[in-house]
Amino acid sequence: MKNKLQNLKQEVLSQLAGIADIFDIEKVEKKYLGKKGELAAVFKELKSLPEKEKKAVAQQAQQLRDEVMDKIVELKNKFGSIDEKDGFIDVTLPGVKIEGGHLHPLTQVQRDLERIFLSMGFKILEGPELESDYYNFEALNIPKTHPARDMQDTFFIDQKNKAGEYDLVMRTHTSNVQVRAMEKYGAPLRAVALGKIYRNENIDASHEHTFYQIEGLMIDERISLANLAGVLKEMFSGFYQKEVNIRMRPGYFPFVEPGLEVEMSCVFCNGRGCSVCKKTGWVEMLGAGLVHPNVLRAGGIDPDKFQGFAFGTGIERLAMLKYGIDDIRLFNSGDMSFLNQF
Amino acid sequence: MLLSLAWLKEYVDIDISPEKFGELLTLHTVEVEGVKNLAQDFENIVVGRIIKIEAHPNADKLKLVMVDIGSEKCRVVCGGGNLYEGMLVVFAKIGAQVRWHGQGDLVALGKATIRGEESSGMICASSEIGLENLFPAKSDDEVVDLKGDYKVGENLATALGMDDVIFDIDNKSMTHRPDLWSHYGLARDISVWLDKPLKVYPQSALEVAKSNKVLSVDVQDQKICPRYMAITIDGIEIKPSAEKIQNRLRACGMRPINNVVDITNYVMLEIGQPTHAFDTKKIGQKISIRLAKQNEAITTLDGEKRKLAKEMLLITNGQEPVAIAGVMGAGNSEIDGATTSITLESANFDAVSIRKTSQKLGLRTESSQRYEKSLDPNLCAEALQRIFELIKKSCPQARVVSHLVDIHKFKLNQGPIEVDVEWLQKKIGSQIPSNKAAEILQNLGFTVSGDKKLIVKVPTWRATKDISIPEDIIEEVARIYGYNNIKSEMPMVKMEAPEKNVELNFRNKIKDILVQAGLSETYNYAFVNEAQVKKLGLESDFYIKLANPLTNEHTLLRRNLIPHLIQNVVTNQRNFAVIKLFEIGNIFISEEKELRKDNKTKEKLPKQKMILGLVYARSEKEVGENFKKLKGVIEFLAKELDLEFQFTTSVSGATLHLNNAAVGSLRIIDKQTAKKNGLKTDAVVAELEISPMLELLKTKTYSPKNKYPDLIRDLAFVIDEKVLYNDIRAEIMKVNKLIRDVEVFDIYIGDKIAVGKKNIAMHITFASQEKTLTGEEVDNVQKKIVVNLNKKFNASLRGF
Repeated sequence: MKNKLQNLKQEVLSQLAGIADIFDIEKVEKKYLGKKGELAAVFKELKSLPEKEKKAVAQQAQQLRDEVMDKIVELKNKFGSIDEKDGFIDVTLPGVKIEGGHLHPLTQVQRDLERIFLSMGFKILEGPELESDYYNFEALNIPKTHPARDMQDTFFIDQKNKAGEYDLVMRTHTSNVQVRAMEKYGAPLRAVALGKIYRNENIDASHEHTFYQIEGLMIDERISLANLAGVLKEMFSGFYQKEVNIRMRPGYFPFVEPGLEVEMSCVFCNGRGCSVCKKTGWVEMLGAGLVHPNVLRAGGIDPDKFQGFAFGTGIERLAMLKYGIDDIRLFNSGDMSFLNQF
Repeated sequence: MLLSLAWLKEYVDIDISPEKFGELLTLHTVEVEGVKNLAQDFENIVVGRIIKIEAHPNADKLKLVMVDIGSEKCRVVCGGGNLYEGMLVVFAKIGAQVRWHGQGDLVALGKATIRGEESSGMICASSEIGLENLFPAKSDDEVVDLKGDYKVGENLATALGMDDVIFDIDNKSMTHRPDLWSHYGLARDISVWLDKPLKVYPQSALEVAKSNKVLSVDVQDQKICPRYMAITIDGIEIKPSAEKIQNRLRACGMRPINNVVDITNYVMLEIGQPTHAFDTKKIGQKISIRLAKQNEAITTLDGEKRKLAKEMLLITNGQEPVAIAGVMGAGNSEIDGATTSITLESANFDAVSIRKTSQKLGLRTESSQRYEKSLDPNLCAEALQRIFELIKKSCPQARVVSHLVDIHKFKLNQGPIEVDVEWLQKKIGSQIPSNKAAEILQNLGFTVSGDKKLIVKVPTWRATKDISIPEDIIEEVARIYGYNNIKSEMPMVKMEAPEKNVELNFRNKIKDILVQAGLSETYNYAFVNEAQVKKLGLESDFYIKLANPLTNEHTLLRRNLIPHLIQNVVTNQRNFAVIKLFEIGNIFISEEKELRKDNKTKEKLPKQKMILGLVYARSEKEVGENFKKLKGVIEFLAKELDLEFQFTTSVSGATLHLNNAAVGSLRIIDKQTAKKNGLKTDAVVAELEISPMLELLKTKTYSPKNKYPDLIRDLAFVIDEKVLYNDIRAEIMKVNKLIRDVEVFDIYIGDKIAVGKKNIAMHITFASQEKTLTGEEVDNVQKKIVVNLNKKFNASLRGF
């Protein structure tokens, strides 16, 4: 027993010597002096000792306890613990409120997308929101009489050109940046363009006349549909921070050939089927395809040497799925009870 | 477009579930937006026979009716006024979905006690099961009398041949495919990926008369009318069309009219060729196809009188128009109950012309929708034959009494297109073997030869516009092969750090600083309206207008961010005591030009620039509180960006300058403006241009701590209330270069000093880079300050 006490003493003292901050003191205090601490155990054991031995050991244990207590008080003073002299603090009271500001959720989503694409070597571009008919349509292989013009309800600017036509529009997609970028940078080209776009359609919980898109464009000497799939998979996986699969199917956009609709495996049910994916396991996410040779030509790029892919998707949709937002109108509502949540 | 599964099955054997079929259709050909099983609506609704009718003991108008439904006999209470024993009725069993009295939502039928008598089921009126078109009721209490050969107990959908599955196809997904706008066209594509044979389209040769009646047709412009076929058919008896045709039309969203019109519509849905039938009596024997004359008008079949424009193509009887070509017929030549002879048109019109006409008239029809996709002129003949075949079935007396008119001049570009297989593999990113690619194309109707280089001849139905370049061939191969079978793979390209978007980064930096300052970011529409702008006392003259605004609220493109920021305050003022928001967004300036409109002309787009707008709103305890808060935010922004704004007084607040150029403003919303705009709190708004800030932005440089200590003296002056702090400060700074900074820390206006005066107290920091300043040196400068301020502003030093 004596030996045991000796060992304990050595142990306590060496631990006390090694204490580096105030929180360690509490641990040591609890371990040795607590109700269920080591010294308490020693005192318990005393009862079973022979009477003559009991007294000596008890004295020794008491001594050790005093020594440890002194040492702990000394350490507490050294590290500056609070005691009655300092007054009482109710630590459960709330702290002083800090009124931080909030970035709009779409800004946050855009930054996230920019991060993903910058890391893959894509430039971040922007383009005009008020755009010419040429860059929004003509240069994208959508001549005036093309039925595809119906696919996007266009806001026209009340200003006619010499031929008496409206030739200024609110851009209907970020694809207007495609040919502008090709003209400026030529090939090879790796870029995304993010920004506001406009559609002349009535608004409800899932439709807006003003929303945001991300456009992707990659042009090089060997770019394939398989590459498109690879980059998109990377984008979705990076955005939702989980392994996401994609599924491509035919779609029609005049500025790509072939044209594709791309679906993403549902990030909510992992493809098992839920209300978001309408029980199909797949969520329609974007339009894409290989850049049409006419578009490359419009951008001054030789379609015999270069090829590329392009894709575009609504940013609200990504945000709505990510944050569980059920009404697209909230983004432009300016409502702080919405904005303050992000 | 609505697609009937039963109809498709006439041409290709589909032996998979409708769900699986729909999925494959989406993955290979067109997007299925919805699937509707028609029989589902008629679950638990069967054919029943009335075996006994008794009076209801407690109600005069009600009867107790015993109905045999095969498996059992049910007793129901029924208010039908046309009941008789032996009558075949539509019987809804417990659990069926019905619409009570033809109104409201569908409800599940339960057991009921009506006036003390139990009723288990219901004898239905047509409106209660959505079949009012099929069984129009003459009175409210009429129930459906099925009359005819129906099996008691059979499900109603099966009995009526309505057990079809309808797929709703997204029209956008086949904008480029004229060949898919019909059941047969889709069946052709489907047969390829289902790997099932496509049945031959049924048609029999036309029995053309030995030309006893002359039909003369004159096509004035063969460019917009590449083909015009017509025949006159006598022996027509107008009546309802066969039930199958009616059911199919209805299932595909078209209203049955009469046998002739229904058959033309049926064939359009079947092979995609629109046709039109005229009453021969009404149009005579001469047809002339010409462009409209100025101010010509027509009353179309929908009863609308329409003014025509010069470029619209018309079908005329030599004098007046009888149809707008490819869009809609006129009332003057319409088939009616008395029609006995029809002249049938099956023509091909130029897609662009039809599209322009339909757009200009605001009239989109099933017909114009198909023409504007560029139809294969070869379809005209097939449609004509098929229609005659079906008319003959409906009117056995029908015979062609004219010769077959076929005026045509068209040439299709069927290629051949050369496709390098290696190039195809490279673009798809998958090693699809040459023979596999060739097989896919052949199954789709292409003629293929060659091996490493495929020589591909395009079938007529794909040769109008759809397929013209090798890239189009890639799509055909890839979609049938299955996009899903292409393994994703990251591109192998040169690694390169992307160019930095300086402007975007700068805007992001501003946003971060403002969020740090406790403001939240808002997004607003780019559209405003005149009233909104005027309410803020802003001019609305230079605003760019929308030609086709969606609402009166959004007619102009914004020239500043203030109107919406004020709106944001209104939105939030009830729920938030303090509103601190900012927005960075584009404004549109009509009088300045910037980016090029295209690469040919020198014309430019109106200038668009990103600016920063800020708003700070809360009920002020003291005038100028919000102003100071928002100014503080702007100063914080400036400090973080290492910029310095100069503020000068303006009519409504302050103007902000950078290097002597005005770059923004701070505006206090006055009480009157606030009221006009629905503001219930005090607000200050600010706008700042971003590019001037970016231009002045420089990399921060570190300045080492001054070796010699600063000396700070506090001085207070009594001075005219209206003297601006900026001027006082500038005056002090001018006194001596040892004065490094002046900072106000208190202003007092009140009864302890004269009216019209203020007491302004400032810390004045003295410093030297060369030595430790002595008290004496500073005293001298300080004296000079007192003298100068007195001279300039009549200010007097005030002791503490």
